[in-house]
Amino acid sequence: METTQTHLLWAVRDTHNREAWVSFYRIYGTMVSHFVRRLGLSEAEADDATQEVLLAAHKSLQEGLYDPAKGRFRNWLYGIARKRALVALRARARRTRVQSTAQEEGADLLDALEDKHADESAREVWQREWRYAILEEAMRHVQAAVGDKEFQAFVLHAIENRPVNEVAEMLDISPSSVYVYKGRVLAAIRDWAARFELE
Amino acid sequence: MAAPPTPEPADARPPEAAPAESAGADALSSGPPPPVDPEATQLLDDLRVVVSRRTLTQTAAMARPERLDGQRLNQYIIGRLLGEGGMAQVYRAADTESGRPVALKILKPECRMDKSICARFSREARSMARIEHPNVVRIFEYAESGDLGAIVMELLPGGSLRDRLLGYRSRQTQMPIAEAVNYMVQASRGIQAAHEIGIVHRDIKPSNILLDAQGRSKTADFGAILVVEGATWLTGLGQQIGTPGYMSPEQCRGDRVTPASDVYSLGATLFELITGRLPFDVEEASPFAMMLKHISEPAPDPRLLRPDTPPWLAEVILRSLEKSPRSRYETAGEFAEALLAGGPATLAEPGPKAERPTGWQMDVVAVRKQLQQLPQKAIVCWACRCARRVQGINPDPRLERALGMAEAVVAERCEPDSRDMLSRALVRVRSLRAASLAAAYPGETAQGSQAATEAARAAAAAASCAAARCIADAAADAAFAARSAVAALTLARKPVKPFWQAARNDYWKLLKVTAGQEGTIGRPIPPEVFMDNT
Repeated sequence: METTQTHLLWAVRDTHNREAWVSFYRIYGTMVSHFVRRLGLSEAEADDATQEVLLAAHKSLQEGLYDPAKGRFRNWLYGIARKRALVALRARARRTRVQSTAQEEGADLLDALEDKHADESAREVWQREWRYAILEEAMRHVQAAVGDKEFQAFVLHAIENRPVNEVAEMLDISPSSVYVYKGRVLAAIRDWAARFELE
Repeated sequence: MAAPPTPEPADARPPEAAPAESAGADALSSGPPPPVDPEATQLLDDLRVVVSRRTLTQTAAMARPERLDGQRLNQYIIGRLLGEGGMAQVYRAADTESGRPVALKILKPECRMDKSICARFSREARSMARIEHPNVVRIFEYAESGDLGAIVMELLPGGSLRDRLLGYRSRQTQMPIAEAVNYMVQASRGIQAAHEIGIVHRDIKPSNILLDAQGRSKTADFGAILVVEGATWLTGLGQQIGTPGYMSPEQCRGDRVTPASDVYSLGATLFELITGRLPFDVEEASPFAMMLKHISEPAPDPRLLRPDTPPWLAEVILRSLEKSPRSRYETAGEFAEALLAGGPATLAEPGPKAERPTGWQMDVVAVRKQLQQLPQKAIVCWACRCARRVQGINPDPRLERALGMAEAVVAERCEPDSRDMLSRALVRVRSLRAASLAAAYPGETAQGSQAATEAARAAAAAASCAAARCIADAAADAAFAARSAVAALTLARKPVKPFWQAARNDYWKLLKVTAGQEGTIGRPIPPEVFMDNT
């Protein structure tokens, strides 16, 4: 199981390492897909874009085009994802133009010229999606590692904000255990995320 | 909440396991709220987003029982689901070896168990691979891995004729006759190529005729084909294959199917393209009632549904929809010839489309050229839409450039009317932008000062533009914006000098330009407000 990003990026270069590919697709795919959707792509467009971005990234990793010395992987991926999203937006503008009447046509064409999202906000979206993706992955690992009750206690109390006594009753544990479990899971998630990000 | 299958020693674990935390916990359950750690709060907030998204994905996954996207099949990475039929799903996929996008046709899980379906599926692959024709979807290979088999085909981005039909329907228009005929001529040629090597399609319908990027139509989905060898028809006898709306009478009866059956389906398809309706439409949409009509009722004249159908075309369609196979065109090729013979002028094949410059990106010249070709109304319409939209704080500078260019082009060749409209829109865009910039950044930071300065500049430019064209209300808008910007600058107590100067210069310019319209724009702010800061 790849527990750091560096390890994962290295492992995924091996075409036969299915597990690494699945993790890679899950983490970065989720991130890219949410990101391009936030830039205005439809679900279908987002799926295509995600696939192409990951494919390009995978290929570049294999060919050693990504140089860790020059910057973080996620920043590098950001460049690819953003460019691909713009391509999709333009393609859509062109497509709608083909199908619509002359007047609308011009308007749509010109709309394509706008880039609706300034680069700065796109980058913010990207950073946020990165954090979500890492946390999702961390949660997945921690969930597998800790006991079911511990994780449930965490979700019910910390995430869903249910009162301790209610959670304790639901899970048939003592209220103080709820606190312990919650703290333990939260710490584990935080640690996992921090470790993964160590490049 | 479901109890875990393994006994969890929850109660067995005494609070002493973590004395510090549990002591705190006991105190908390009754006492004051815990001290808030902002980092932990943020972490929890983020986790809540993640969990809520998770739930969404799970719900979506339940709605779609099997999704293969993200998986790999040999060198293909499966992408999104493009469409599905009764037996198979078609996914978009990427070929990691060549890098090209392809389409993968994969049997649905419930069909993978059925041996006869699997056999038909691989037969489809083999048969289609034998047909090499520009109007038949190309097959690259049959990829197999484990229990998953996929027909790897060329990816056609243009959608199907059904999509085109729906597109026209949603706009409440009909497909131009020349377009419909053109598609059908090409599709028929593809079918003819199949007939020539003894393959009958048996399931021709708009959704099985796909379009490539150039608008060429290609026949796809040979899932129902019948292989003819010599005079022997090798088929699943007695199997009802086809789609009732387009099935020939002999197919409906379960009789022998010949190339003329495909001609019937081609005719039914053309009928639908032209009139927007099936030749036999039954209200209760019962397949049986539909088939009965195919067998017994004469096809209606398409002119009844679409009066501008040329008589020759109506005849071609009616002949292809004859009940007796012998009265129809014998082959798809003949059908295509008849279509071609009828309307020579309208039936030119679409050549490769003229290359349009695609991106605004770098190619300013190309964009300018495009602008010049557009109807002026389109430009004005767009500019007005922009004006409504560009109220954000971060409008793209490229938008500004595009607007400027639109203005120049319109000024070159437009009547005064639309020129005025455009100018008005432009001024609005600029002043709204300026006002929102000024409002968003009160000028207390260096960044704010810069934004406000830019706002002042933009407003000044807008005002001068309006003044030059004597549009009083637009000038008033701009002046208002400029004043907001200047006020924002005035409020800033720690100005950055160069910005101040630039703003002041622009402001002076504005005063000069609008001097003649003082009544409209209100009293200018005295320039002294700048003095103590420079």
